[in-house]
Amino acid sequence: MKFEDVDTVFFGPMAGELGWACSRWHAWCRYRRFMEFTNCRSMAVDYDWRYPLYADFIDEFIPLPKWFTDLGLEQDCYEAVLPEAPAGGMMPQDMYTELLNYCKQHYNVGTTWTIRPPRGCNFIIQERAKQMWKPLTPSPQAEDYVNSLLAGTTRELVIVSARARSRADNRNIPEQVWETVVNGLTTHFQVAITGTKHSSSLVTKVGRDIINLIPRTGVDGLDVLIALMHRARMSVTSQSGPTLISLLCETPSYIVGHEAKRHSKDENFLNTPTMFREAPYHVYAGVNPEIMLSDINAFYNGLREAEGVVDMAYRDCQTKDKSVMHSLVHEGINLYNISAEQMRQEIIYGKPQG
Amino acid sequence: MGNHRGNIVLVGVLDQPGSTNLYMAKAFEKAGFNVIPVNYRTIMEKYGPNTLNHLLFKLSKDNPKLMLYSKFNGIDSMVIGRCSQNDIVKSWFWFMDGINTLSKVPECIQHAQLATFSSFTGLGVLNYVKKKIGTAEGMFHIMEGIDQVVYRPTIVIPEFQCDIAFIGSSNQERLHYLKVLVDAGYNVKAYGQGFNEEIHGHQFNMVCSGAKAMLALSAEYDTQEYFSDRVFRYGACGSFVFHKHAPGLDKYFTHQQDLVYFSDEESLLQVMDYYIKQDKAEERQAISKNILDKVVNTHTWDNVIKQICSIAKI
Repeated sequence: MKFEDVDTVFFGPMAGELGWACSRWHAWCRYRRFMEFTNCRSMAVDYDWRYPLYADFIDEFIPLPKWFTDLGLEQDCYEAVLPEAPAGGMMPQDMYTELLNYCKQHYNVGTTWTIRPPRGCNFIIQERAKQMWKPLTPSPQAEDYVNSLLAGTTRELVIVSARARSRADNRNIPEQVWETVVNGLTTHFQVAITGTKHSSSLVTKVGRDIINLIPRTGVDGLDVLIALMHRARMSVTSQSGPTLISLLCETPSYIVGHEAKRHSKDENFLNTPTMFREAPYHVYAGVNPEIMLSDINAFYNGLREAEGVVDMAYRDCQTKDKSVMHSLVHEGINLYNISAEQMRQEIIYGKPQG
Repeated sequence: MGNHRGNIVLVGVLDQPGSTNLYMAKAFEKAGFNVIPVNYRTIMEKYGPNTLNHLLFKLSKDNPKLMLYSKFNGIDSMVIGRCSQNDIVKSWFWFMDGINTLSKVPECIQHAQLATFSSFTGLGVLNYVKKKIGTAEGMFHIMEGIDQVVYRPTIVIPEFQCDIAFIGSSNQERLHYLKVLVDAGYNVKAYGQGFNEEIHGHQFNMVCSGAKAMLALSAEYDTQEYFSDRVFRYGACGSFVFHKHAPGLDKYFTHQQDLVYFSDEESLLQVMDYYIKQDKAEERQAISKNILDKVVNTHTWDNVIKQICSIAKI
């Protein structure tokens, strides 16, 4: 196939971890879509609920087939692996082949350029490829839903996403720690608990000033999370997929974990404000809820101060900077260094030759 | 000066004397807009990129008619996309340098891609970006303008009198040509970064009026229809201009009618000999009158702003 014959670019199938889709895959696809395949139609295959990651650059989104999602595979890096498979494993070859065949049903092989995700635990994209980042935005429907959820509150919103995955379960903060943190937060904030039934703590947590969205499942879960992030003062997460979503929504993010540089800098592609608390000796079970609450308070105050600076710059633009602009324009016209007599002699059109 | 046509957020350099953006702002205000200046370099230096991003986003929430980003180098393009709020707020990327500069600020190509409209003062630059991006949608070749109230002919002040003057920053090529002229015995004056002093506003006019001829040297010569707006300024001051030839320039100015082209040291010395040494004052005056008329009738900021408003439908 000649490159000039290409009329479609096809990204996928992506069946790996949300974090890998967020921090590596989708921004690379966006870059290639906008920089290399500008005039082509674009398609992508991923889990149905991940559609918001692609919304701004894909013409047709195709969900992974039901037979595949029904397999109950676990996500590991770019892969979907059999439950209990060791870390760094790959999708069984026959499933992968079948998945590729499923993809081929959706495009014309003769005119489509296919871009597959790297395989396994692979760092090639962030090390060698170019990416293009854009803040995630929710659909109007998700915004409406979140507006209706928050209609009754005047409090600022904090989103809590309490990781409790069976994979790498040593990275789960104990549920009682999360309980204490959420209870502490509700003294000042409206709290929204997000996540999924199978990967989160606080699944049944309810209470005054708490909205628990975990029971809400379905394809629009990520969309709603993005809409919530856009309304939130900050998020509180422990180094998981929602952390990356928060960073990509530019929601100030308080993160507990063991890789501060990765989440605050390396994979904080939009320079979202963050505060990172290292788990003591990387032991998540040792995280202290009082310290978390004290951090959150300090982070909140810092954010308020930063907002104050933006407000000041905003006022300056309309007043002080505008007045400087006018005086400089006037200075340009001002006939300085010229006496009144010289001004009278000025010739506007037709200059005397020296 | 009313501001009934709404707000224009002008992101550029509006806190430095002589900045092109100042006259752009003035023309927008004259056209009835309220201009909100965002001095992005100063804000970056003072508060950092996050504050700048948040400030721009906050300003975009006020639904300005247009957010115009001038050069905007060193800034992540993402902020342009973000402020457009899915094309609710129109954005314009304005670039007035050549390809050599553009190649050093690759983020500007992405700016062009993400802005609703973008324009380049050099046709060659526009073509270069089109090729890079693969589309020409929303992209235009629009030259800079001049403010004819600021730049205009004035009286001759003795201290500025000379055979030929140059205004602009110093570089190797410019120093070379100036040395050639000095060595040939001409009275030469040069102003700008790297020379005696930087001049703005009416001092610019006085330099132009004091010199028998002004020397125009572009920053680069391999870009189609790209030249410094200084030639417009010289023209607006009614100067007699010697311009080193650049591709496509003839489309705007005719040789020996609006200005005089030269191609190298030898041809510069030849035209200097004819027009200056032999003192062809009448010929010089006729040519400078032509460029003056052409510039003030065509290449004004008022016309540029009209063009922008017409394209952006604001």
